[in-house]
Amino acid sequence: MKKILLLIPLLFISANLLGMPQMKAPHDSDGASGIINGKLLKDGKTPLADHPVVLEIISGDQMVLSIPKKTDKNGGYQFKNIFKTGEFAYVISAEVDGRLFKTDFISLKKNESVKTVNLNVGEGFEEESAIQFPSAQKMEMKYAKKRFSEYQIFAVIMSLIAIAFAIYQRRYKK
Amino acid sequence: MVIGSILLSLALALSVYSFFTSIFGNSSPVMAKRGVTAAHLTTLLITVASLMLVFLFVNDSFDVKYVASYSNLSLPLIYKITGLWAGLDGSLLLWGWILAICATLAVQKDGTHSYVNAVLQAIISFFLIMLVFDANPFAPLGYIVEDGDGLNPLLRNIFMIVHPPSLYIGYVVLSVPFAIVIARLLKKDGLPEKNNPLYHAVRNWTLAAWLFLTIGNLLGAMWAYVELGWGGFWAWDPVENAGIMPWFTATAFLHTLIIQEKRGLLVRWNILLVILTFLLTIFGTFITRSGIISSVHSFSDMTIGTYFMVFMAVVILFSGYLIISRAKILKSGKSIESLFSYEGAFYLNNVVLIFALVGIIWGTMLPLFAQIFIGQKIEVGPPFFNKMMAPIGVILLFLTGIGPEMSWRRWRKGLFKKSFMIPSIFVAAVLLELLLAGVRNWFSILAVLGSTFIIVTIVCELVRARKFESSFKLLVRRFSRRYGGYIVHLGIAILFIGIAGSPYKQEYQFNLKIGEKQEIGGYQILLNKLNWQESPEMRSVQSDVQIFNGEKNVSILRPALFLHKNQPKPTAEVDIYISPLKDIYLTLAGISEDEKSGDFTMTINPFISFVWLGGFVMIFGTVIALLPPKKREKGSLVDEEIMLDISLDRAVTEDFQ
Repeated sequence: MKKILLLIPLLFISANLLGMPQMKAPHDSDGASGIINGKLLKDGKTPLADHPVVLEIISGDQMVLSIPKKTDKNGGYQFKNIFKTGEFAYVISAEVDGRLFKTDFISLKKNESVKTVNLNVGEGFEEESAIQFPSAQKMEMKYAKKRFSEYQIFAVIMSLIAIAFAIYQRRYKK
Repeated sequence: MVIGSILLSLALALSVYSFFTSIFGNSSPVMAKRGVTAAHLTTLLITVASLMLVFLFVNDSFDVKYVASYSNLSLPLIYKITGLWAGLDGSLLLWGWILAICATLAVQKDGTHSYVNAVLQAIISFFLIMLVFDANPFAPLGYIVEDGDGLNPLLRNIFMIVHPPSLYIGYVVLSVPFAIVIARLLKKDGLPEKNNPLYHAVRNWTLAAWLFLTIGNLLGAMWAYVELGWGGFWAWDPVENAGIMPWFTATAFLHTLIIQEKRGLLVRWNILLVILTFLLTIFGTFITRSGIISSVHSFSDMTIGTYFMVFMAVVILFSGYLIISRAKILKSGKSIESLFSYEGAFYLNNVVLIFALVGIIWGTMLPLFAQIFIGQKIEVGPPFFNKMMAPIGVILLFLTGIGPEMSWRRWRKGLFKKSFMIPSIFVAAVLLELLLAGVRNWFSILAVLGSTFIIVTIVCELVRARKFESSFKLLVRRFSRRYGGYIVHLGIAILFIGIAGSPYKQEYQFNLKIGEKQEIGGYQILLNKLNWQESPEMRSVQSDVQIFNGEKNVSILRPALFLHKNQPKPTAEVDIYISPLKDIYLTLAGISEDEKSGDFTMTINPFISFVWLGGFVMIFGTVIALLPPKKREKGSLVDEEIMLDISLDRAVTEDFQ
């Protein structure tokens, strides 16, 4: 039992050291988050000024948050504090003439601090229901659904160690 | 937030370790001890994680998804603290936390078999797996928000601070008797004998759970009454039903446990009831958490629902196997000799309770079954449940009065004269009075008669038993289990008087202009003014309504409407004039476009105060029943309850041999 008692603080320390970088609230300057900007373009060329756009934040297969904003006079939008972690995907959407248009899934790589993604709306551009994701992207989403967080992997490993330790103690340490 | 996730992961590993060492603890006391130590550490880790989540709420850490979803900057501190159980993830954490504390308390006693801890740790591990893999309350939001969504305004109510944790405690505590019973079955034993400390553990844990379930259901009813604005207190919502299902089986078990204790009967039945009660807590949680049946309470997450379904299947199969394989060992040599006996009445009480339970489950699940099997959407509302439960309630009420006064084993000559004659005379007198007063509703009449019967039998019993003690107080202390139960019965009688008033509820809908006076339901109603207020959180309008009875000013009521930021629907705050015999319940339903008049709903609820009073008496009685009886001689093994029954001519010594 003493070993367990000793193991726990050690695990705590190591886990905290691993987790520390994520604990800080991400800001633009610390490299953990970035910016998505772009323009809302009608028919691929005319910027739509002062028009509502929405940033949808997706985790796994669920939308966890939507952030509404209005485009500026040049039809531009900017969303800050975008996490670079693979846990989340982002989509920008806008409703124009009663039809909903969305971008593909957006994510920021670790070395990217700004990403420009324009949202094209109007005739000739596919609406939300008609969006066909490339098969590679589909695969990526499927993978994202099944991927475990670091602490979940940690929980599985620790539980397996716990079972092994209990069996070991039963056999050799009666 | 990462620390929180890691704490839960570590707690899971420790709980799994505790489970395995406790399984091995059957043949090795050292391993059993290790299991207990690991159980304590698991509790410690979950406690830290839970407190950490509370801290994140208080600290407005909106980078945590759960905090951002259920709190905001302007939320009062108390609701930030109670944010812990405002949503699915946090309430599962609270559940696991309470369970871990219960496990720590249950296993610390010497002599508790290691299998008890193994079962409890298996349940804790189940909750931790859900928390780690699918309902982590420490999950990040993925975006920085300046303010959170805030708490649903309906949940900002004093009753909601206590109601959910009370129900959770009630649910969770029932895991302990289940663990004890499963451990005994694994060891090929039945329920412990009455002199075994485990017997008292099973009884007291169940009674404590019953207490918390009663508190939880009562406060939930009070919240519905003062907050939801429809003028009632019980809507037979699927989640309300989920809260009452284990209450029914726990009630049944607490009664038949007495029969097992005194006469060694119904052993298998009792084991079945303990397992069923536990299963119903899981089933109730499944209904609440899966969102499989639409309800005002549901959190809607089918992934969590799948976890619960798998867990229920495992519990059913494992418990079923244990019961079937141990059926012969558990068979009692004796059986109930007559239905007209103490045992017979309690057995009937069990049958009726189980019948009620089956009806509630059927009504609750019918919409789902209809959807699955005939593809039709149907709704089962309060009329179905009221129609079904009214006769069941009346039967139970009379059994509550009859059962405790019956004699053991068989009907004894002179019993009617001694125990039932005076109550019957009172019942006849009350019936006459009710008929003369013009009461014609069959349920109200029978409910009041049943309640009268209970109250008079209790008074008669206390008067007869008083001669054995110097005071009523000492009598109750000496026989705390018995008379605690009687006080609970008294509470039920009072509660049913309250329910008997329901058919005479009157509802009026009307529009009132400022300065206008109207006669509604025998009262003069005057709208003095409408006050508009605006804050960063919401816009509200409060009415000022004066109520007169003739020329006499009865009360000023101020029902209001709130338009909350971040909440699409307005919420209404009712105002109630409370009096012992009837409540005047006023709701502001809407405001005219010119803002010079309001639409109101007024409900006159007769005897509703009796419902709350009855509930509190039940709680008081349960606390008394939990107190250890004051023995005449310290350490005496004489069953004084049996001695009392013999003294009251309800039994002879041979009945208990």
